Amino acid sequence: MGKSERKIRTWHIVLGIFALLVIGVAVAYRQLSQPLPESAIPADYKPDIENGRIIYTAGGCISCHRGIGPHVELPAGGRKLKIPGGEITVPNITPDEKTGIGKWRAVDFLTALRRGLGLDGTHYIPAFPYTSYAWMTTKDILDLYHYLKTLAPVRNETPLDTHRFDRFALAFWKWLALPKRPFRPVPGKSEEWNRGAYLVLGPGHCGECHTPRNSIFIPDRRRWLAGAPHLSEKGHVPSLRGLKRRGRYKDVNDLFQALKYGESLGYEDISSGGMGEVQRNISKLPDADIRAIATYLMSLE
Amino acid sequence: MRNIARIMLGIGMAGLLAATSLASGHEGAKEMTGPAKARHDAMETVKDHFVPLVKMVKGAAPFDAATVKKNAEVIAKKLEEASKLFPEGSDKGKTRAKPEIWTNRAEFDAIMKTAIEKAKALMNVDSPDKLAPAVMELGGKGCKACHEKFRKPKDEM
Ligand code: HEC
Ligand code: HEC
Ligand code: HEC
Repeated sequence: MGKSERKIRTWHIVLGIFALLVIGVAVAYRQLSQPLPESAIPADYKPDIENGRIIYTAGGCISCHRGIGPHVELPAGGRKLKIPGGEITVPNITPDEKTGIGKWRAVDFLTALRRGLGLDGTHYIPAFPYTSYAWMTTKDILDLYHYLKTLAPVRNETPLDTHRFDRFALAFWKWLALPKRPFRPVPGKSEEWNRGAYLVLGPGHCGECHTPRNSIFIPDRRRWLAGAPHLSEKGHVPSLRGLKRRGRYKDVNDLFQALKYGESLGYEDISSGGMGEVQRNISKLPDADIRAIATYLMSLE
Repeated sequence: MRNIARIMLGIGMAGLLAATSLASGHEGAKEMTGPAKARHDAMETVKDHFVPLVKMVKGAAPFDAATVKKNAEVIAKKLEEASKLFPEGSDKGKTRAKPEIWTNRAEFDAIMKTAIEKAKALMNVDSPDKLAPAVMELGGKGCKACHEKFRKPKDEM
């Protein structure tokens, strides 16, 4: 074999490997862009609108999706969030047929919250905290969907921003970042503790701010709620571990009051950096749920 | 690989809240100085006079109209003082003051005014049953309303 022939052969191998890689990435991308099937909805599912409202409150959907002007009380979207390299528009999630989620099927909504995936296979940017919401039970997500359907539809055009490359790369990031299955109660712990753990991990998405992230921006489970740099402002988000040991709160009841009343009752470290809005949402939950959150947090060493 | 990781990180850094842009200039300074120090001290005095009233609300201390009046008066006076300690440009160095104070001054001043009014109203509370609502008005529409919008999270963990 001549020298040039060998060179050509090497080139063919390199090209072959490259082509395989491209095909591999394309196949993987397709696979990662699949919506959930209709069968993901349990046959015996019955909507519970009141539960949906509670999940909506715990999830703080209104904090980001809040409308503008006359629609501030509805999740009509339209505000901008700052993200690195640009801005992102928060979409309208009222049940308007044209500009909201009026035409979405329940399974589309489930796909959005569980997989961070939109109608046409759009990968959502994690400013939408779906990596937490994905922990929610199918029933809670469906109840939330049915609750949103009861809201007044608002016509407000809020097309998703392009960010084409980010969305492509996110397909792979999500594969690492999304939980593999929804929350399951921890055996041996009380029902109240498990309810608290669920609200904190899933709908409450407390870990998005309170848990430090690793080098590829996935919350580090080993340092769960251990405090982290604030993502959009200078400063730190405090740790929620050892709240009792560090003398932050006397007992479960003390933290319950802090979560329920916040700074209106003199709890001073629960207002800034977005926490004031979170606390306002928590304060609207049933007392039993606020107490469950307090019970769970006070148990973290 | 490095680049991909960096890009991923970039995407991830998506602001999680309807948050504002990064605060500028924060580097270096470890100690508070100038107006930042003065308003910080005023705020700490406010807190020291607010906490005993909260204790009365929670039943951890007995109701005492004289203390309520005296403390509320100090709170009103110190907030009044603090309101004059936010000169233009004093968001540099070590401080928890957000730059929005200066881009949205009218709202900041309005909340300060409300807080001072609520503190003055608190001075006239003469019975235990009126204390809780008055304290919560000041705490909610004064302290919380302002810290939520205009104060950054703490520097240290
Ligand atoms: C921290 C801010 C934030 C919170 C909290 C939040 N969202 Fe969103 N949401 C967003 C952003 C930003 C987008 C757009 C993402 C994108 O463009 O990729 C979005 C997108 C969505 C979409 C897709 C809409 C579309 O047109 O494709 C749905 C559905 C949605 N959110 C529902 C919810 C629900 C339900 C909750 C509460 C449980 C919630 N969101 C809480 C920021 C948020
Ligand atoms: C948007 C980011 C964000 C989210 C989401 C968030 N927090 Fe916070 N949290 C903060 C910040 C920032 C502070 C510090 C506030 C301050 O200094 O005034 C804080 C403070 C707290 C404190 C007071 C800690 C102490 O040392 O006294 C508690 C308790 C708390 N958060 C609980 C929660 C719970 C429970 C959730 C979920 C339901 C949650 N947080 C979600 C940002 C967040
Ligand atoms: C109109 C706005 C406003 C009002 C009203 C207000 N504050 Fe503040 N407060 C601030 C700002 C801004 C800072 C940060 C100052 C700085 O670091 O330069 C601050 C700082 C503080 C601090 C210092 C915290 C720290 O870690 O540095 C305390 C304590 C405090 N406030 C308590 C209170 C209490 C209690 C009330 C109500 C009785 C109150 N404040 C009302 C704006 C306000």
